[in-house]
Amino acid sequence: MEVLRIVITGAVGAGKTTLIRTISEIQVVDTDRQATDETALLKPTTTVAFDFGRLTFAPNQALHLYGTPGQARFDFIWDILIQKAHAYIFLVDAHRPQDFRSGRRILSFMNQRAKIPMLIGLTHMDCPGAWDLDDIALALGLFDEATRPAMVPINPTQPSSVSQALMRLVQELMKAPVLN
Amino acid sequence: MAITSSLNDLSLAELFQLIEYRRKSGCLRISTLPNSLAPEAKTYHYYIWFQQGRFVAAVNRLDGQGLVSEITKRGWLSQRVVERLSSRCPAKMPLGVYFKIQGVLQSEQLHLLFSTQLRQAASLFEVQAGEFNLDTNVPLPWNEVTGLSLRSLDVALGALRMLNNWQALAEALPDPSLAIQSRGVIQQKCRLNALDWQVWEFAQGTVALKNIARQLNQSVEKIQQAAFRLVLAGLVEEVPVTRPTADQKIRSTNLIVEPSTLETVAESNEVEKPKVSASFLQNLVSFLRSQA
Ligand SMILES: Nc1nc2c(ncn2[C@@H]2O[C@H](COP(=O)(O)OP(=O)(O)OP(=O)(O)O)[C@@H](O)[C@H]2O)c(=O)[nH]1
Ligand SMILES: [Mg+2]
Repeated sequence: MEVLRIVITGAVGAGKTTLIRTISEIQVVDTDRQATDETALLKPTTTVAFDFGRLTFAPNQALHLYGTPGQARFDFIWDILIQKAHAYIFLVDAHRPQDFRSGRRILSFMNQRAKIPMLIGLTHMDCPGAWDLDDIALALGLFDEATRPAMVPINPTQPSSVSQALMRLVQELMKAPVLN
Repeated sequence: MAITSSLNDLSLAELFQLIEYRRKSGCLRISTLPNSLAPEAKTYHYYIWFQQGRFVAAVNRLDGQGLVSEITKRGWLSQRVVERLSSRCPAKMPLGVYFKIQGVLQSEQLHLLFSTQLRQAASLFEVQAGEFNLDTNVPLPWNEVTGLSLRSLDVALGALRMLNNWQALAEALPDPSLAIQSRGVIQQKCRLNALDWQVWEFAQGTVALKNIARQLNQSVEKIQQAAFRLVLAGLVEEVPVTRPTADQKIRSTNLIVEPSTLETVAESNEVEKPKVSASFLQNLVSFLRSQA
């Protein structure tokens, strides 16, 4: 079995579980639990272990998707997940500017930890108060349009949108010298 | 387009940076809110105007009388003269420029009026509880404009150099355990002070801010503040500390590793990872395309 492993990461409520549910052929193991402390104000449930989804697109060829728990401290969980990942998507909720600063820190952290292909997915672009792509790029500390990672709007609730984003990520993978 | 949020989420300094880099025009409204220190405080509104990313005016009223009231307050012109002249100011001409053309105000006076507006804006960098709204779809109030302007980033850096109370920026400052890494950009003329440039010397990502403080014999806060200014100026980014030498690789993954050594672990994993073939990726793309 040939498998491509992709990690879906991002802050609480960014849409990680939704994205994986939307594309997965198997029921996503539900590890969502009643949210505690501050998260509870934001949403009733949150992912406590990681999500897992699978998409078999040819005999013996499959895509595995791992979603990180949004509440967890990034360093440790993320380091475990990323060990076997080929690429990752960093989801940013476009209408929660309060997450941009930590997003910037996480990005710089990850950028140093794992030099693997990645994509920034902007979710909730359809929600009122959503920032536009270039403003978010700056808030994430990505000043240079020419060298910043690929950024695409994603609506995790829509299968076609998720497929398009994954195609974009595969493009990034094809560019990467470590593969093939 | 308008963007709205709390100053806790995005500091005024970071907002000014955004405005500068994105060359935004429009009005930034700052509304102060009662906070824990002043629970009974009233809400005040301030309006800062930008054009193409440059700061052009700051007032605390929307009746268009901010600039003229500063002029009459100083006794430079009478209310009557001001009213008569302002009514003749051509559309889209800064009132300050018109007064200068008319010979009733000198450059120095305009500079003074402009610095008053600047100071007004700079004082807002200490606001601890507040909301902002940046509306890029509103025309400039030409009545409030002196005709002078300044890079928004320079306004922010200038304000931060003078800032006494950094409480409002507590969340924005880089953590003392982090290092700074040069972005490799050419240093433009930035309004930085001597300490900032001393800290800049450490922008290789190898020394934590708290250790820079020790080496420079400064408080950690002062170093964090300097690092924040460098980040704001776009010269550096905050990064986790890396080891100065590459030959100290630690292989064991069972140990509880220092954050700074994790990188080597992650690096080695790329080698162990099973590779995927080009045909695999092609199949995947075809499949996804059929779904998209
Ligand atoms: N309108 C809209 N809703 C979205 C979008 N993306 C996600 N959502 C919704 O946002 C909510 C949170 O999504 P989740 O998938 O639970 O987020 P998560 O990243 O898994 O959150 P944690 O596990 O708590 O970290 C769900 O109700 C989604 O349906 C989007 O682009 N637009
Ligand atoms: Mg989840």
